[in-house]
Amino acid sequence: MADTNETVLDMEVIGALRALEADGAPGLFAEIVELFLTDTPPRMKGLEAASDAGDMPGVEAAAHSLKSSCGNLGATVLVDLFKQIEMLGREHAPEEIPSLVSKSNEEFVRVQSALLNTK
Amino acid sequence: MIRKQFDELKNSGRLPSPSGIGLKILRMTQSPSWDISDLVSVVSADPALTSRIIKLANSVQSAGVGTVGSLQDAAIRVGARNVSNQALSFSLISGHRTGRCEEFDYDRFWALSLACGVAAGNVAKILGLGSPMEAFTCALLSKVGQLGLASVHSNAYGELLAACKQDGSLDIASLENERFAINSREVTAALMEDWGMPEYFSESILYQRRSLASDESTSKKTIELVLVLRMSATLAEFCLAEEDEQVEMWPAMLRVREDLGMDQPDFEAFSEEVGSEWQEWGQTLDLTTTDVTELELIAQRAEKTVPESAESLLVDGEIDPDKFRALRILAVDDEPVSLRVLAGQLKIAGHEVLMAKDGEEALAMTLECNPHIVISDWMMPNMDGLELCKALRRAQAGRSVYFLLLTGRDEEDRVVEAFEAGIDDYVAKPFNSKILLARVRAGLRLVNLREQVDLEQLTQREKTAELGVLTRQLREAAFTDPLTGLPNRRFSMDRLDAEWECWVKSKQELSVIMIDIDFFKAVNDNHGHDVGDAVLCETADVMKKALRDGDILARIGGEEFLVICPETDTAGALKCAERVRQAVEGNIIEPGGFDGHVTISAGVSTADDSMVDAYALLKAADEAVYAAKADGRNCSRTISRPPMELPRSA
Repeated sequence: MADTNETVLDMEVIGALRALEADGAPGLFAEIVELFLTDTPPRMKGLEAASDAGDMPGVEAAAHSLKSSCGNLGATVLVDLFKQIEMLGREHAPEEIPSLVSKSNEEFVRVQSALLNTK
Repeated sequence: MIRKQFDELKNSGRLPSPSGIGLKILRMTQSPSWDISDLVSVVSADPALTSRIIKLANSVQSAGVGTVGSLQDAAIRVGARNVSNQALSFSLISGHRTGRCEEFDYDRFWALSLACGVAAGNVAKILGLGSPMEAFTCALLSKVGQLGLASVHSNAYGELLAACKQDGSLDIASLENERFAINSREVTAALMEDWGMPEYFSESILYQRRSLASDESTSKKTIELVLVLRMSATLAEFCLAEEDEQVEMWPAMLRVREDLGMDQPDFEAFSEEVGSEWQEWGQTLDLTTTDVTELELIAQRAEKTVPESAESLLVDGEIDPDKFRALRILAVDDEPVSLRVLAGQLKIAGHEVLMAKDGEEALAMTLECNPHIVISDWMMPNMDGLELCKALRRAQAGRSVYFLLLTGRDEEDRVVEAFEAGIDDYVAKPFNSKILLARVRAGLRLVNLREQVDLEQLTQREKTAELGVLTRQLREAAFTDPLTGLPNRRFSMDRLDAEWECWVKSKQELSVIMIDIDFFKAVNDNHGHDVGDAVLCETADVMKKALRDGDILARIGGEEFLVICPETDTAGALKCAERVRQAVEGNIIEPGGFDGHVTISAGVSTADDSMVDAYALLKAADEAVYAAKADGRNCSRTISRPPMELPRSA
């Protein structure tokens, strides 16, 4: 279990967040995790909808924001996926986006369980 | 009220007023459309006045800008309005050398006024406060109301002066008010207004003896001029004083020294410079001046009599801009997780955090809650970070807020655009809280300095001279890149505009070198921002050492630098760029564990007639950097002009 967590989440980032909590913000980590878990799925739905509609600026903006959101929790694989999607959106190259979107959906499930494990 | 008293004085027909050429200048400036050519034709009718104006324009110039040779030149350099104001005041001197008031010492009056002018011009020049020419003019006329009262009420004013001479404790201003229902300062201000001088001239005169706090609407120009006038008044009195009086005045002189931020030898040299310039001007205008005592002697005598008070003055007015305190920070991000993390980091550091989820909300909150710092993401729906910053800079309330922009890795290339929009600094995402808080600390420094200025204005009476130091620190901070200590983009753009103006006029070659550190992003990515910062600092140092004295090096973006090379042609600038390039290449950077060298790509451009403004010159240098990058980096390139005629493909 620990092995999967490491590839899914950058433990250094998680450690830094936990350190913040230790520095005097009790409950901050749990709060951020919860925020992330409730906020991300609707955003990913939005990304998917934009992709289905062929709305490339919409894809770019949604992926950009998801990318920075995931960066906060060290979800490196997701960050990479959204970065690629953002680039494709910017270059108006819709072909590969759906497969990347479905990959990101699968990865999100992994991130979710990894985060719940770290709690 | 005062206007009414002043109109009565004016109706007497005896107030000092310009005559001859001065009157012509006054009439000219009262017509709705006059320009440099009108000014030149009016003033050049008087060769002595013309040469005085040229002499003054030269003496207030910063070093190395080139000599002013004609009235036309002077008007272009320091502004036609400045020249006409100064011409007017010179003409006043010659028309009012004597008068009917027997107690009034006309010679001493003009000698003191002249000393004020000379001192003010020099103080303004040293501190970079406002225009030295304006300071000279305003200080020269700063006491002209005394002359006014002496001229209109020659007997009554004479009695008043005699009374003051007998009893040194009398306050002349209150006696004036009692007797004439107006004091000489108010007369000065009203006269300046009458002569069409800038509004802040009269404002500064009125404020000189008041606390600057009494009115919040006081403009920065007025505050600066008040500070200059106060310092120059002390310096001028000192010039004219007898040796014993000078010893008594020494503590006041030490305050001026502090405000000027000088050590003793520098201050001695400065005061002697003011003294000898005063004597020189005295000869030019045929006014009697006195010998200037060596400052060192006065200092020695003063130290023997009042060692303690002099010491205590030095300790007074210490300011610590780096002192930590909790700030009110507005965090802006459309993406809630990042916003929460950012807010968490700031809160733990002890700051009060407000949150906004887009630019529009942030704009409203800034105006309502008046935060010290705004930290905003760049990409946001509705109003993005740059639009927010531009909007704030346009609003009175948002102009002074410290703006820190969060950029994505792929946005770092566009950071110059962000500085143009008015941001103070930026942080690249993802960042750790150490980097973020370090940037916030840099902001804290400016916020502290700025607030100290406000606080002084609110609470200090009669001690506001310290503001001089604060204003200067603030000014330096505003024009300095906090990381490298080099001039920043704002400074270099101002300077480039000035050099461009000189070029337009003189056509003396002007070149710039745009420099970009190669693969700098990789340094940040592979070694972290701390090492990246160390590399920037050391590279800046190496470049500075490789440049010539007259070149101006500034950091204008993340890893981007600009060198302004006045009086340098393309070949010279290329040689210079090459020297810098080699120096950087040959320098091993050890600090931060980087242990290697970086290289730079340099683009050179030289001003020519096909360019419409300084921006075109910059753009050409930018294109040359691209050419250098395309040629494999670590080289210097220039692009021959005009680009339209350059064969695109051979």
